[in-house]
Amino acid sequence: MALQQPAVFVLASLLDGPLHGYGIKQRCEEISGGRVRLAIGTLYGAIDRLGDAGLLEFDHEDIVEGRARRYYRITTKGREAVASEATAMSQAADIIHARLRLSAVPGASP
Amino acid sequence: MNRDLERRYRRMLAWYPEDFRAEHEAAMLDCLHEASPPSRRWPAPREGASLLAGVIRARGRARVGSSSGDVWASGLRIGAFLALGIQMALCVQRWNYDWSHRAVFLTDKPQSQLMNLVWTAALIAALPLGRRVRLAAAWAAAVMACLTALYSFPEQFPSPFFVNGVWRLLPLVAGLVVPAVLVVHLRRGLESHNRWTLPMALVAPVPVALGVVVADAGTIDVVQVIPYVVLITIAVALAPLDPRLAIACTVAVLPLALLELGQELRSGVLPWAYSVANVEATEILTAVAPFIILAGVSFSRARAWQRLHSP
Repeated sequence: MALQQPAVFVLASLLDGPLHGYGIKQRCEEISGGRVRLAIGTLYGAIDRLGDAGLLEFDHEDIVEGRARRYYRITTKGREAVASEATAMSQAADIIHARLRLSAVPGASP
Repeated sequence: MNRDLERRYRRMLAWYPEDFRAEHEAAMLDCLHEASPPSRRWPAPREGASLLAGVIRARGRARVGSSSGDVWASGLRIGAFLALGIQMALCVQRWNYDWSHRAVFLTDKPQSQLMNLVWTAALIAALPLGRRVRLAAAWAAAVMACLTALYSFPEQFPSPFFVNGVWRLLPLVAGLVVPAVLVVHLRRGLESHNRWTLPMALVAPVPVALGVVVADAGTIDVVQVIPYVVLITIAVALAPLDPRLAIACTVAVLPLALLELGQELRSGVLPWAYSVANVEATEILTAVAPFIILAGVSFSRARAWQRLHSP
């Protein structure tokens, strides 16, 4: 099952523990070095899909300034999915690096 | 987040499906609250675009275990968005056509083209509002559609500026009457649609079609209009099965547009299909292009959704 980049980062952001929506958004920016900046519509679309697929689940709810703040946690299935995705990404990166090394050798075919 | 901004975000969130809102609306508002600087009064463009895209994604997904009411509501909203797309495409197409003749937006009634766009947008804007507003919008849309039948009698019925007098737009107009009728019955996502909903939707295109036939008896006969009415009726009957099928409420023109083109290419081999100038067939095909693209996106999303659920 292939996950899109926002979904991968949402799951990765939850590896350290439950977070609420804005916490996930900030954590994604942090761990991606500012490369992944999720808009709220994209974030909750990903949360909804991942929740339906059983990769993350509702943890608890706080009331802050009269507003409901829902926290989510990653499931075992979610950990497996993000680990599998990381392996696939790593393998793809290895292949590309190997190709780059090959193309950098003088006389090698591009 | 000030109250104005919250109200505007709430309006945008009202477009999400009921079950999505029940689960995420409060948390999304909290998140939007945290992400917005105190001075902001209008939704940030990026957030607004993201929320609208989220609405289309959420409604385009075939939800496992959805009630038939959800499916109806999703189909209706998708159909309404697509109807807006087709009206915009027609405006753009008309603009280009006239530009090539060095006359910017010079149609016989350019304002009527814009008015079609305006009342389609008004119908869409009415969807998440109260039942009385929806009722008023639906009636206005139905009346506007029926007025198209009068344009052929300029002496007896001088058509007002907001009526589009192009008869080939009939399927689009009829396709909009169907959503209009459904809008009247939309209550909690049509979960409680009554026994009259489907029959009313099914017969909605008939008076519009017959009105145009009567008004334009010199150039159109009933046989030419029957395929449109039949297709729209089938589309409405299929709509409860899948939201994507409801797209056909406003895409009913597509198969006939293709037939129309075939008719041109094969010189009258299909006598029961439309016989119009090539340029008109091209115009219609241009207009339905957004439908084809969006329907393709919808199907690909649904397939991705199924893959996500596969064990």
